[in-house]
Amino acid sequence: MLFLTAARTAEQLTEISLSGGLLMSVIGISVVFLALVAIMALTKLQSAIIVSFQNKRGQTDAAAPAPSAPAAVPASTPGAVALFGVEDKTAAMLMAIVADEMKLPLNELRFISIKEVQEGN
Amino acid sequence: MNVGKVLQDLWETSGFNNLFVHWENAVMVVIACVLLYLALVKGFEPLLLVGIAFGMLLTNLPLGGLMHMEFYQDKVVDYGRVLHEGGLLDILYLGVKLGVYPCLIFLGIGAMTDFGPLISRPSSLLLGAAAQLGIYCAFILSFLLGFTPQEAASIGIIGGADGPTAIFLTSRLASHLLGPIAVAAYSYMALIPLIQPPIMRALTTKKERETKMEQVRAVSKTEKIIFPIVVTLFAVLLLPSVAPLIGMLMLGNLFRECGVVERLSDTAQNALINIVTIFLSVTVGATSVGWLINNDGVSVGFLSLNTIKIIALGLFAFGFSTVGGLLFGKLMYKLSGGKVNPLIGSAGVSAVPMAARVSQKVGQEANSSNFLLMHAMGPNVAGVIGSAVAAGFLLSVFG
Repeated sequence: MLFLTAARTAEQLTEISLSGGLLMSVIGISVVFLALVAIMALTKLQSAIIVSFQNKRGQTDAAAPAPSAPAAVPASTPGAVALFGVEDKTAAMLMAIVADEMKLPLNELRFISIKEVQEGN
Repeated sequence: MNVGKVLQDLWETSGFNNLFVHWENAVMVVIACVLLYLALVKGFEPLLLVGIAFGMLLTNLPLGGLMHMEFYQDKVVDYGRVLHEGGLLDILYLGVKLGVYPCLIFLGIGAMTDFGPLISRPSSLLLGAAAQLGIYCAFILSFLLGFTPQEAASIGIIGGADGPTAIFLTSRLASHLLGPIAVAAYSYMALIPLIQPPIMRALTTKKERETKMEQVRAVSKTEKIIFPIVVTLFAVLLLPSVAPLIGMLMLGNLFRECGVVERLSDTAQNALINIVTIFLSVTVGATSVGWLINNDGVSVGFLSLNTIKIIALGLFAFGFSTVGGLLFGKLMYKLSGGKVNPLIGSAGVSAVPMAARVSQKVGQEANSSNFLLMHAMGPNVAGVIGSAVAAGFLLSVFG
């Protein structure tokens, strides 16, 4: 009731009581939680649908006869790494650090891209 | 020609002669220089603070005519007068006053943000929501300290730790407080590595801080493309007032993820955001005029008791937002049987990526093999959405 009355005009809001302000705060944080819980549910639903769809397609692809044998990829080829705002030397250092931290040889890791993250806000 | 008269006129129309007509302006020039020192020498948020401090410097130098804050004291601004009589910064300030720049910054932030960690662990959104607690605690406290609900809402949003959101809401609800609120918001964002760690250590046990989290699953391109569309549809339908912020954030993210508009994505996350940051920072700094009288004859300059209150309330808001995120992180730690490190909760304040880096740093202090950065990025970007939703709520109620 208070919320609805308060929402009507800004003039009325300049006179709200402390209890009105407290109620507004409770409603406010509840709205934030409800909105993000709903986004969480939607995200889970979206992921579930996409993953199941991709799994199904994967099974169909696997069942279909392969037109030709895929070319063998040498185990030691990590592929090209796209660099955005990072120098080759820095990228090589980062890849070495990741390999060291994961206790895996570099040829068992595949780096797709390395990008410098800049502070946005 | 009377040379003496010419020199006298020159002196009388010079800024030196007028610098101390209002001592408040001279003090503001000193404050601007201190902020420049912090930005240039100490490295406190230089990308924003250099512009803010220089705008502050320009607006307080007498007779420059770059900015006329008296134009914006009426409830209904006479934009014709601004265009006819305004200076350079008056014209640029229209982008702040009309809420254009914060939204364009959100476009750039969206283009720079990877929502992958959030999509792979959607429960991060709860931490992003809990870390908005400070907004409402500061709102109540501001209200108790005598601010109007509109002013209290604008002060509270500092707790969202999101500069563009704070500027967007304040320009709509309490534009006369824009200077102190923007300075407080960006100053505290720069000070996050100092503010958060003591709170994090105080509220968590060593065992909790040592918790190593499992690797999250890989997120497909399709999920990343659909996510901004789904969030926009839902959030804007729920709270239409959030459309400018969430809409631009998600558009920028769609540019990034869709893979067919590389040039637009590149422009949004580099050239556009840099240009808008220059305009925004300089004009927000220029709102901090030392001496200003409103139409009711009341002093509304930067140097007032209200500014000190806002600075203190901003710190309170930041602290409580951190507490909210950490407490919810501890709850998730318990409910998950010790699989979630509560330190990622403090990253729910939306200062991206500073807050996530602080989680990583404090986590690694407790356990050197702990890598929390990617786990903390989930709550961190959730905080951006959370603070935008909180701003949308406050705008719809108090606007």
